[in-house]
Amino acid sequence: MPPRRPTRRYTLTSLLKEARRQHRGWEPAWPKAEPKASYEIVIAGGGGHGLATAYYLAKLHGIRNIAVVEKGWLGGGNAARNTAIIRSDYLRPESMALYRLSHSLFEHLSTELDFNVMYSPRGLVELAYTRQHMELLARTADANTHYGIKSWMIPPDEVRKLLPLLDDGPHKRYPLFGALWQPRGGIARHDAVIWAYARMAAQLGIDIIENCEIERIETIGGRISGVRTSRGTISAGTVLVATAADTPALLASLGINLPIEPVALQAFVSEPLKPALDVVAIAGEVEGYISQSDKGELVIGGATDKAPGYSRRGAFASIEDTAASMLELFPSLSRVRMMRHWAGTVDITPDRSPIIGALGLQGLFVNCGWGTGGFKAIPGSGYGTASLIAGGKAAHVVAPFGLDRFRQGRLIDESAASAVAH
Amino acid sequence: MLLITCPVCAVTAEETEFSCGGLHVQPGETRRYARGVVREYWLCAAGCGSWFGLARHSVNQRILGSWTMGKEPPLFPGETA
Repeated sequence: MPPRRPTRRYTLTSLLKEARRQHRGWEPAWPKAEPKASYEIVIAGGGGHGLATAYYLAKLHGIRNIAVVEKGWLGGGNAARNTAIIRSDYLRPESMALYRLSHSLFEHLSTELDFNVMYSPRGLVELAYTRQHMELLARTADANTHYGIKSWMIPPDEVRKLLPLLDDGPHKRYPLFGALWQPRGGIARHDAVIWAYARMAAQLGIDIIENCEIERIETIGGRISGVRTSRGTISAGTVLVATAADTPALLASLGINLPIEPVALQAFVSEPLKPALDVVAIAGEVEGYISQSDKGELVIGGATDKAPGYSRRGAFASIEDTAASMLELFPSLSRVRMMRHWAGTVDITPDRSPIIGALGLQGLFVNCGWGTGGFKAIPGSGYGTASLIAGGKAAHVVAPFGLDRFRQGRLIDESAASAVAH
Repeated sequence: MLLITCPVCAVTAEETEFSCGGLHVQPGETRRYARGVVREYWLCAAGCGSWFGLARHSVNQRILGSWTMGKEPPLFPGETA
């Protein structure tokens, strides 16, 4: 019998066909590519933003001679070290445009990428326990309404209906004042988002090179000439650096100084429970956020560690603080056992907004500084950055996030508006 | 968890008793965190209230030493100027 073509599409018919032959005919989601001598564009960093940019460059701008170079394995960095929350209730117009685009792309991402990313817009509440926080959230809700993002304030009675587990009542030191409600906020499976982008990018002809560390960016006469990697030199006229907290070190040799501070941010996953929490809950006052995954595990996050660093271990003090804040909100979780825990090195900028744009040298682009909230922005950031590199029409979405904003004093200050003050 | 010794009051305690004041930089210098040994300012917040200098490794979190202000030690092993 002649060998059959491997099955590529994920459809019901292909599933049935593969079930008949014991699932031996599936094509690998992406092949292990060997680095070629030269590419049109090299993307440093195989995280969400790098892969999404590669995909949209190939899909929308017809540029397929691209390599995504990752030092470890795909989805081994911050792409898989977040709490997978998706929301667009930001305060500044620049941020709202970017996160709204991203959120709207998430709505159809599974269809677009032929991969179930388990996007679940279950609704998101941001609880307020002080008048100041109520004012900030009300301002955010008003700004969101003005810019076409659906979010509004809800009174404590409605919060109690959404969160029956929430400890609330006259015995509490701080009574609940209300909450910001974003009905389309939710979660998605972070690994699936990475795999889906990688698979589709590879199908469009992009080389995904894992276990290949970029050591240095090479220049000739003020323009980019390529990258030196642990597996040889690759020449390229355009390089996008999307390596999160390692971006400053990579760009320091070019005389570019990025205002980025690396800090560990931790997350926790409990044993699977029966469905108990069907919204995402964020509480800025106690610095904690929680959601229940489709498997039933509670996914919990808190504030960043107190001292910067590249260790992915995380400090015990933050674990204790996060546990305390969850028990303040949901004392009934006191006997829930935590199953897994991880820390990622987040790249925090002074105004808590990302740095995206061209960087002086011809052919050099950067996409980093996502800090504690990069996962939700992956599709929009990739879409905008691809447009920026290829000279497309959506570049205006990421244009305000250039590095020059720090020199011009034009900060996009989301530090007070972020769900948890990091 | 970092176990820090304040060189002023000689107390040894966990990092929660101290406060990290950021990288040790000279005026006009722009230095950023990097993988390797970093020199920082720390405050003995719950103790004597003094600022002091501390060298630690930003990846494996090992503490190499602490000193009172103005008495900076020479380069530690593995540290680049």
